[in-house]
Amino acid sequence: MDPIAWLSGSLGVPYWAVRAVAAPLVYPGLAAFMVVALFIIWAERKIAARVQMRVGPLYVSRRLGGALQVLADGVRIAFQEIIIPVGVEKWSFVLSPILAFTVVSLAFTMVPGGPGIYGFRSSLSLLATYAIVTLTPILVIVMGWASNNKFSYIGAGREALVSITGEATLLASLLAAAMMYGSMDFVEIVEAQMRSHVPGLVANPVAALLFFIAALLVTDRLPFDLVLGEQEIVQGPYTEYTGLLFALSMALGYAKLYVLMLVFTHVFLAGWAPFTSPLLGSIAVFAKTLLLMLVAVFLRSVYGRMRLDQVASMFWSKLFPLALVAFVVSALIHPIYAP
Amino acid sequence: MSLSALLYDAAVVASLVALAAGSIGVVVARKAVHYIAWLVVAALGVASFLALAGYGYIAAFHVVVYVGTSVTLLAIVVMLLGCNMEPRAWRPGRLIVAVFAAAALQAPLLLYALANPTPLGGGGLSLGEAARALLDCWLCTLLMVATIATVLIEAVAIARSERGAGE
Repeated sequence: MDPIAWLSGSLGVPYWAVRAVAAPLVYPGLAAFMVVALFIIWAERKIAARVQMRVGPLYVSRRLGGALQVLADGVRIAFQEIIIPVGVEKWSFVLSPILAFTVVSLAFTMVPGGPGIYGFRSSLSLLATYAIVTLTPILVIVMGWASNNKFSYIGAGREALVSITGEATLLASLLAAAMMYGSMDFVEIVEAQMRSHVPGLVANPVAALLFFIAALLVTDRLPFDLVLGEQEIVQGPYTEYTGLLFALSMALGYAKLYVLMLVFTHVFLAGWAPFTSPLLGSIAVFAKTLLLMLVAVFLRSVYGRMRLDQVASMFWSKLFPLALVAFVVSALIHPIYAP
Repeated sequence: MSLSALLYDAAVVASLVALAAGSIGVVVARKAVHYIAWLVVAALGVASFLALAGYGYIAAFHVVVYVGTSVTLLAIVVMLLGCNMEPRAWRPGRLIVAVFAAAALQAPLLLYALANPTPLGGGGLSLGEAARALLDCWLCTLLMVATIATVLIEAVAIARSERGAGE
């Protein structure tokens, strides 16, 4: 039986209202994100350790290869004292990480987790998801400013520059994809790919590559690890954060990565294809997203960091013009997705 | 009243409140980054009202362009110029102007909503229809004109006094 229909019947609440709450809280929302975050952080540390010929997390749950290490760290951080340093802008300092994480979580209402599994379906869900993701840099800037710390301040400035640089390319690649499918609705986009048996990655690899690279930049993954910049500015805008607020600010990057990789799965990897049942389709979406995130975190082990000026120059002078090529490819490919 | 209609009305009121709070906050905020934060609130209020009126595409692009990009650019400028943590001088005149400006912007919309209790229903609010309804309600038009005139006079007065103080 459909669990949403059962909940809706027993609570006397309309079906759409239960779905609108379940999607951001359970799947593909926060509960699924917790599982993804625990796995991905462990995998990131383990992969980096293997590449550097170390062991990585081991002692917590030795039989599972230290898989519960992240959970143990999370519990420790949750019970740490939240220190509010002297001279910070208190309310901005406390509220901005909470608001930032909440804003990213709102995106889960728009992105489907499988066939028929979404909070809201809209003809503009692709654009709305992107719009929600673009709200977070402002809050990160406020975090860096409110901390009253030079490292945080430099990190916030970098976040502003990086977000402007990355989002232009990200939006251009998404619009190129939307032009190719003739729709901005995730469900229609996936159905178009299933109908034609050609995933977006094959039809327009330029847009897919640009989206992936820009997603790495806006989520602050290597080789564009500029906002955190551990070697230079401690933890960037998050330097002064402790306890649960630190955990939230760290989870923010992973939540953004999860949302953007879900979007990539739907737009370029045909979402729940080849399945049409909700359960198998959801598993397919989840597996594809997880695989993409693993690729994103693997890059940490094999790439060095780029300088800010190199990143800005590369995006504005090379990748953004390439987005125009993606538009041309979309215009040529468009007929294969026509209904 | 059904749950969806109730939520719709609540969303309309919330978007107008966000717009009013944002526009007042931008004027009365005492720190540079707070201006930006209030500007975000006002822009989100505008975007959500546009979306509720049936202009979803414009609403999404409003968020992307004005909040995602323009405000971030503004933040860069503020940071490059150096936004220190020193509080600015408190000027109650700013609050008065802000409140009247917000009222001038919102009074016609609120009065229109009160005069037409049926929800917009996402069917697309026609600007021509809104203007006709507004002009039919002579009290709305009178109030709007009076408020805008008051704001203009106040703004001129405050600008003159600030210039005088600076000199």
